[in-house]
Amino acid sequence: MTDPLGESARSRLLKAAATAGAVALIVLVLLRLLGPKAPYTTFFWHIFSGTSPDRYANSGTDISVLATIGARVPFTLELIVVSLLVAAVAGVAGAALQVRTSWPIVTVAAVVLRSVPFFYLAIGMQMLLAVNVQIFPTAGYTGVDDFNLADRLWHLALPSGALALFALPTIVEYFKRRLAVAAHARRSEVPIAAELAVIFAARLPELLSAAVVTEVIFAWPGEGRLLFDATFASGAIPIIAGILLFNALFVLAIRVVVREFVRQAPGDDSVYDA
Amino acid sequence: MRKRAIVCAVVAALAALCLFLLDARLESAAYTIDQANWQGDPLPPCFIDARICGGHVLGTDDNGFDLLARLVLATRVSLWISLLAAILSLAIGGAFGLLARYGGPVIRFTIMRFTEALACFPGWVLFVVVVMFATPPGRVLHPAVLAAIAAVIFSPPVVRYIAFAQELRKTGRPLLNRTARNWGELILFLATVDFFGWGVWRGSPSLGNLLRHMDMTFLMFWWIDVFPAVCILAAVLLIEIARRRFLVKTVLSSAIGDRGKAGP
Repeated sequence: MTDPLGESARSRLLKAAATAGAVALIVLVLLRLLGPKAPYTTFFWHIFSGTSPDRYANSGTDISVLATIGARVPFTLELIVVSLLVAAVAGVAGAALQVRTSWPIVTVAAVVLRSVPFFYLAIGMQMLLAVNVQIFPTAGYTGVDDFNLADRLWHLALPSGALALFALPTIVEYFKRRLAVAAHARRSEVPIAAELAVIFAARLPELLSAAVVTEVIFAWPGEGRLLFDATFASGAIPIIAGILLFNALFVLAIRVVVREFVRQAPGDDSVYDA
Repeated sequence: MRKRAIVCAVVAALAALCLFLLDARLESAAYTIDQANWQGDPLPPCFIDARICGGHVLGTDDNGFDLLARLVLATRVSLWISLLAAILSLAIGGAFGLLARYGGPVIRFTIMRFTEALACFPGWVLFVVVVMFATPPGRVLHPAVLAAIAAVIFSPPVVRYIAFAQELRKTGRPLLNRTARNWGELILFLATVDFFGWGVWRGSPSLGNLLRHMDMTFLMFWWIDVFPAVCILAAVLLIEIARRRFLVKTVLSSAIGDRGKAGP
């Protein structure tokens, strides 16, 4: 199978595998050159193995590093998925509003949102809506012992809203241009979901970075919070290495899948670069 | 007429920014004011009559320093480090891009795979991990080293531009566009790492460091957190508007709201 860029399936597979190898090599070299000195295999072995008796142990617990990270991933995914849904709906609606009216408030808001540090927005929202007005909970993911969907959503509202504000400008900018062009041309053959997938894959690393910031500010128990705690804990090197490795491989996997289905390279800046 | 006014405003603001970055007298003046600090609760700004607050027009921060002086120093520090990082990202990305372009298939394949791999890492996470491992115990990294680390993280798009460009001599504008874009993004990026304590030394003024207590001061002493944020917003916005005006011609019309004229 050959894609529009003229590459065979075998070539694409080889490139993806080589990139995954490069990701692992970067993590390995980073830890070997800059981290504590240990045999080359130790770091990776301790990510995948169970408990470890030496100083690279997982903060003294008997849970494997992989399981520790795995337990936090659903929280991060929950945060990202909900915020992306909110950002997608609000972004497409905002772009449509902008194209149909000459009122530039949506564009101005998007440019301003992109020009303010994300942590400032998140803490500002937390201070105003949780501490001052006390509409939402300040931090955490639940206020009760048993599972309660309403309570979970209530705790999720502020972090996901903040993260949605981070993703919003990109979506607004892209769809504003797309709708403006579509108004003067025939209907685009690419469905909106596919275009959103391309943007999502292209901006996923930034979204994961913003998710780390969100999790730290709102004490959301995702992998970003785990990473931040691990940077202050001695002996948590395998956790840091594991999160770094799996985040990069996750991004790569999403990009490969999107490329295969949408046939547009998410790494290509032209899809979102103004 | 409206466009001409916008262009004039952008040019004037860019000239002011260059003057601000290059005029050393501003820095020494700021240091002089910075010595006269206030003991006690932070003073609020007093725009109308500065005499009633001891000459601290924008008030004082939570350490009693004059906020205007801190802002001048912090904006200069943040703009210089981010500009250095943006230029380094162009240099590093340009070198590897040229190597990938002319180095033969094996070198090209290797460089592009590593570039793609680097672009897969969440930048902020990678930066924190590198700084954490690279910092000797009890010491801090030099700002130029921080800029170099950030430059490597922001270099993949430059490598791609140069390696895949059909004609190398036509990459000038896209590369300048990318560098300007990187500059704006790096201001935000470095403010974030400063805020979380992984950037420049905590005692050194930078826009991220000025905001580091905002979870405690935001509601009580709003001016301590609002003015640094306004500086960041103004700097990034100015770079973004200038970039769109001079490097991406078609997008300005959409930025000012002209219907149906947006690119690409």
